[in-house]
Amino acid sequence: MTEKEIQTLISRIQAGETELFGRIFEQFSDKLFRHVAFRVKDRETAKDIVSEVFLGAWQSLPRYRHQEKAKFSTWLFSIARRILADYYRKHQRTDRGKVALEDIAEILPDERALPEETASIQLASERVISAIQLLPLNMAEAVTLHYIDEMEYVEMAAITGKTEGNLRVLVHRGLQQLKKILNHD
Amino acid sequence: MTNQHLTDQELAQLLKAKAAGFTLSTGEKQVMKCNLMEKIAGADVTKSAPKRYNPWIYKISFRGVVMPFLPILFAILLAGGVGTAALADNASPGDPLYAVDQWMEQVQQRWTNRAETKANLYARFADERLQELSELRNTDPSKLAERAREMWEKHHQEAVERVTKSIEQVTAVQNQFKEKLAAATDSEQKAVFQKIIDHLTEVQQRREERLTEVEDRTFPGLESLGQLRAQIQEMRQENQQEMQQVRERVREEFQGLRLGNGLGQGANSQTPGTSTSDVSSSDTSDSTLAGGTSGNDTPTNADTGNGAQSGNPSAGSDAGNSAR
Repeated sequence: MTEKEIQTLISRIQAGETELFGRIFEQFSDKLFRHVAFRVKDRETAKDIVSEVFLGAWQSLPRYRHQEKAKFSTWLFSIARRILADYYRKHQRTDRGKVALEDIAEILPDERALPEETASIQLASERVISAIQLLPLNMAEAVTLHYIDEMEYVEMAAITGKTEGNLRVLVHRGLQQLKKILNHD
Repeated sequence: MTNQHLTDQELAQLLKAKAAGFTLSTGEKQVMKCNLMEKIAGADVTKSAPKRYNPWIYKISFRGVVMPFLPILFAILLAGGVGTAALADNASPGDPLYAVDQWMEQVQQRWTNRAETKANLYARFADERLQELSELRNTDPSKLAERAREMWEKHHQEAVERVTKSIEQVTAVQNQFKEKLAAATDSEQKAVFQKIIDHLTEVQQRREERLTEVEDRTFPGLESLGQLRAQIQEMRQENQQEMQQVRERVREEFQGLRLGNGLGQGANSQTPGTSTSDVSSSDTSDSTLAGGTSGNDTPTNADTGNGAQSGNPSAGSDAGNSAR
């Protein structure tokens, strides 16, 4: 769906056609799930959070106003951001400046179990999700939004409230931190 | 098994590849959607949003409604500009509008042609410098430290962001050449592309080092008031030198004027528009300047004396008053 079609759909939902909200779910559920799954430990938690996001969006929809050059997905991701922050607070996930060695050891799987020729890449692939969760929260958010959700810095700035420059620094540092974790023997 | 060390590009590709496989299954989506719609169905219908467009915008005609406000808008903008200029004229060193004040003075100097008007202008600037010096003397050093820190932190953050952006740009260019290398069939072409890629890697490494350097920079700080006082003292001396130069220049201009007037009675008739009042006003400003000059000597003495060391504000204000 184009942005214009999405906005028309939103207008109709706000006008009373509530059953159309299902289409909003179909349009954005995968994108949101992908973003949340990289930020939390397990799939079920990610699904619960996605459901909460859509419920929160439904409750806030009467107050939603389309702004020029702003996407609906930006608004949705802002809600997701808030719900993730609550989740981290409840689970006492505090922002860590550095990654501890023992955390890295947890994510190193048994290399003998995999065929040699695909081992290194597959290992890195499996470890990358865990590695993102070891990053400080702001870096994990920036890396996820840029590489996983493939957002431009402008949209990321609208979601997070940070400047584009700040986000570039976070993405760069996040990537360096990930490399250190994944390249660690 | 060897661990391949991942490059930035490989890691980015890995992240994107991993992301592509992260989707909800059809079954999971169905279940989630059903649960969501059930909860929504039980809730109140969303209130209809007010109309998204304001019909009055389409009904307002530019000529009928907007144009009468244009003169008022223009007057407000003009007043704002004049007001800013007026405020800037009273700005001291360190104030946000001080740069505007300095710019205005330069514009005035450039557009002033007549010697006596220029002399008056220089005299006024000299007075302003004295006043600014006096205010600077009365500035609380601890406030300067706080402001300096804020400005340093802001510049530091901007520097980090700039270097990070430049690293990204180098990486992007490098990726383009890597694609060209992969597509090239000619061995000579491949060698050229490889050379470029290697060079860009060096550039990137140097910028990474620069980023680390910039990030590790700490606020030098103004550790003691003694250091701060020394810096303020240096600034005062620079201001005095500047004022001395202004005085010299004014004296030269006036000497030029006097020579011009002394050459003949026809000096007034030769220059159209020049009247007796102009001559007398230049005399007046000359005497004012003479008075100002002698007054200006006083702050110099005060600065080299006890006034500066004890930070006695009364010495500075007395000097400023006598200059006027």
